[in-house]
Amino acid sequence: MIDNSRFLCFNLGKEEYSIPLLSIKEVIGLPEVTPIPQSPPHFMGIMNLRGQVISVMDLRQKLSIKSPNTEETSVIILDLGGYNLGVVVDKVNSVQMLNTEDITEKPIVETNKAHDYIVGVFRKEDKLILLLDIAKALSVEDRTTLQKNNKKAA
Amino acid sequence: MEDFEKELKLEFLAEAGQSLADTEQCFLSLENDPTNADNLNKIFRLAHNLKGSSKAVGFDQMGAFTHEFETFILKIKNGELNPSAPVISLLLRCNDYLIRMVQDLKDNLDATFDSSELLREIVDMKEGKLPEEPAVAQAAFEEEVAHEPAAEFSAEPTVEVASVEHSASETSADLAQEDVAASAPIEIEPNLELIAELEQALGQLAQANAQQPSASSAAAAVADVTSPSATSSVTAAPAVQAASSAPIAPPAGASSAAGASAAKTAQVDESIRISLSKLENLLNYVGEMVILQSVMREQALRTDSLLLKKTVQQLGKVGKEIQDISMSLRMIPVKPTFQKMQRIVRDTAQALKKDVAMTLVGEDTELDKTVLEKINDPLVHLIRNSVDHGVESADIRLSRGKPAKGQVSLSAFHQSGKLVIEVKDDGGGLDPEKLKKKAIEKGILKPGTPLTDREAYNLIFAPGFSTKEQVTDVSGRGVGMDVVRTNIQELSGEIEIFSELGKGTKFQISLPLTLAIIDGMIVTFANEKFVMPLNQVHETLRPTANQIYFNQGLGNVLMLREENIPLFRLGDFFSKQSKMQTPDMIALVIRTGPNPFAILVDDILGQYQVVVKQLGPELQNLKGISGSTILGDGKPSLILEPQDLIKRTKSNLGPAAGANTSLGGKAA
Repeated sequence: MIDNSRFLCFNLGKEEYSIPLLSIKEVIGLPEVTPIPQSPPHFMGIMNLRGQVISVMDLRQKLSIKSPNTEETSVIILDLGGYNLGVVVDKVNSVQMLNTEDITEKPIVETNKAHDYIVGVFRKEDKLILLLDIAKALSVEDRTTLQKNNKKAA
Repeated sequence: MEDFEKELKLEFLAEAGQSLADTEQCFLSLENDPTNADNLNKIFRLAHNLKGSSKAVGFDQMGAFTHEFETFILKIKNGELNPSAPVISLLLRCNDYLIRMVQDLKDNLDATFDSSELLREIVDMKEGKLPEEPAVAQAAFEEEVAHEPAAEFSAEPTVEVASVEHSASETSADLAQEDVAASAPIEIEPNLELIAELEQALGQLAQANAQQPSASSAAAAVADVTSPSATSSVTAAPAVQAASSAPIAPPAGASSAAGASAAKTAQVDESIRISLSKLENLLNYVGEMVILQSVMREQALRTDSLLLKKTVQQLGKVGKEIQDISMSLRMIPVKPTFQKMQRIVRDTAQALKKDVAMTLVGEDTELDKTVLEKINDPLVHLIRNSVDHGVESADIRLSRGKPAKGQVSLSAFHQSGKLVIEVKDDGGGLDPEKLKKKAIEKGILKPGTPLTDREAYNLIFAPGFSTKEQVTDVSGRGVGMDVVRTNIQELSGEIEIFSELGKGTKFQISLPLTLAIIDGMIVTFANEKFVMPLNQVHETLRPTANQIYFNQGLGNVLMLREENIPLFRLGDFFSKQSKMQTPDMIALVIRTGPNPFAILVDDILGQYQVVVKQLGPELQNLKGISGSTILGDGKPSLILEPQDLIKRTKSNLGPAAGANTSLGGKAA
């Protein structure tokens, strides 16, 4: 990891997560979303981003964090090299400048379901913020889920 | 290199590419009709332009080559050389060489070439028939004017002959002539020539004079002439003369201004190349604007301001216009693609020593650029096949009572919202028995399988199938036809074969006009909107309870006139339930697949042209959905693919489970 990288911190329920700022295209309010039939529950559907149709995932549902939509619910538009993906989070907090030494290894928890999405942790004012590998958390997993569904259907 | 000089060169290369495509076409028609004077004139004019412009922008090697090329063509034009097949071949090779030159120069403006070999061939060819020294170009030009007083140069040939050097006064004379020529039915070429002459003239103008402001204003006046509405040419021509007669020293600034103005006018008349991604961006934003504007229209209904209402309405009209125009930007005529095919027929036929004539029909038909590009390779393959496998050799043709010259035709036309391209030959046709035998030998077909003739024809699309005993280097090794079909299917097109033994074969490709816009029927089911491509819907009806029959084994059946067709709810495919009662629902009858079926939806909201948006890779494999679009309310909606949907039902739900519950019709 490069020194002085910037990370965007956001809330999922009460938990705080962060992802590299450079993987983010923009952050918008939650728009109207068209659901996709027979997609996994965390797959909210598709939205219109200025003429472009992009998929929206609910990261809270994906990581099994229950939380209602509030005024602050936002969609982070990710740039995943060639295509965009929207991710719903509860609240966008701040941008943090981090050095390698600020980031520590994640504590090893054998049973943690989401634990391979988490690449590290860091502390900010007595709070623990988790560094997320967003592509791992979403696209790889989801693509296979959808493909499986389709294979079943085919 | 100065910027303007580079700009000029690039401009020239873009134009030269276009001219060379034109000349290639002319050479091919010359072969068919060697006496057509218009055609010869056009070729000569194009060659002359190339020579003039290439020298003017400083491509000396190209200029030298085109000079020989031009004199060679002049011999043909003057009837001193007969345009026989070897002559045409040499011309085409020169053309290819020039195309390569242009390409290389595009990559590297300082590229150098050794054209001595081709030049020697040209000289040999000329001397083989006519042992004369090639005339110098300028003389050639005079000669041409003198020999062709009846052509479009008839206005004042004396003016032309009088001017020997490329001077500004010659340009003015040319301009006067070109004005006459422009009234003749020639569209782009006069411009090219004008610009070529202009560039020369302006370069010299700048060198000769130009310190005085009047010179640059004269240059501007000349620039005006190049615009097609050249009513001012009469006054402009003397202006050039006036400017050239003013004796002044040359500063560089003025010459660059003059050069820039020439380049600028060239752009006004010529088409502009735009990257497709830019165009797609534009389309996206236009689409978004239309959506925003429909939101505004709704808001405007609630206001009392008449002016606002009126403005919003007008904005709507303007928006629609912009949308239509931006959509049409993607459409280009099939002509350039078709013309390339003509060359392929010629080369293939020559390699196989066959005599084949090619006819093109409907070259002006327009097609989406992406579709057109992707159809190129399949077409090349089909055309080659027609010449190689289709058309028989001359003696066989004669023995079958056909003219020795084979016919291959390529045509394009619109048919029920699709573009149809046909590749037709008058050759031997496909022999279903032979195809079957071959397929069995290759292990593609099991012996004893009953096949209709049409099914037998389709065997040639099977991978690893080639009917010709000897593999030729022309038609490949039978790996092509399945690729042809796959490519066409990728464009959501279809290919069909019609053949009559001994009479010929026709390949019919039908393609969607564009992949970007479709006519869609907006339907609702369980409060969700979906888009059904209109071309999929054969008819719509509101079935009565009596028309629907439920059977545990067959599922729901719609009794439609004489037919009984399977009936599904849209929700069956998506595990969704509608609150609607069946008699209130609307059935869409789909007949595009092998078997008809009907889909029940809650309601039809209307028919719209929708812009297809691809879904991201995470949704690419979703069966039954071909893409998405953004509807008038700004919300995205899914585009259905009924044939895929039905496959989903068949395998997913089993034959009995199409809809496990009765739709409220008669019970079994």
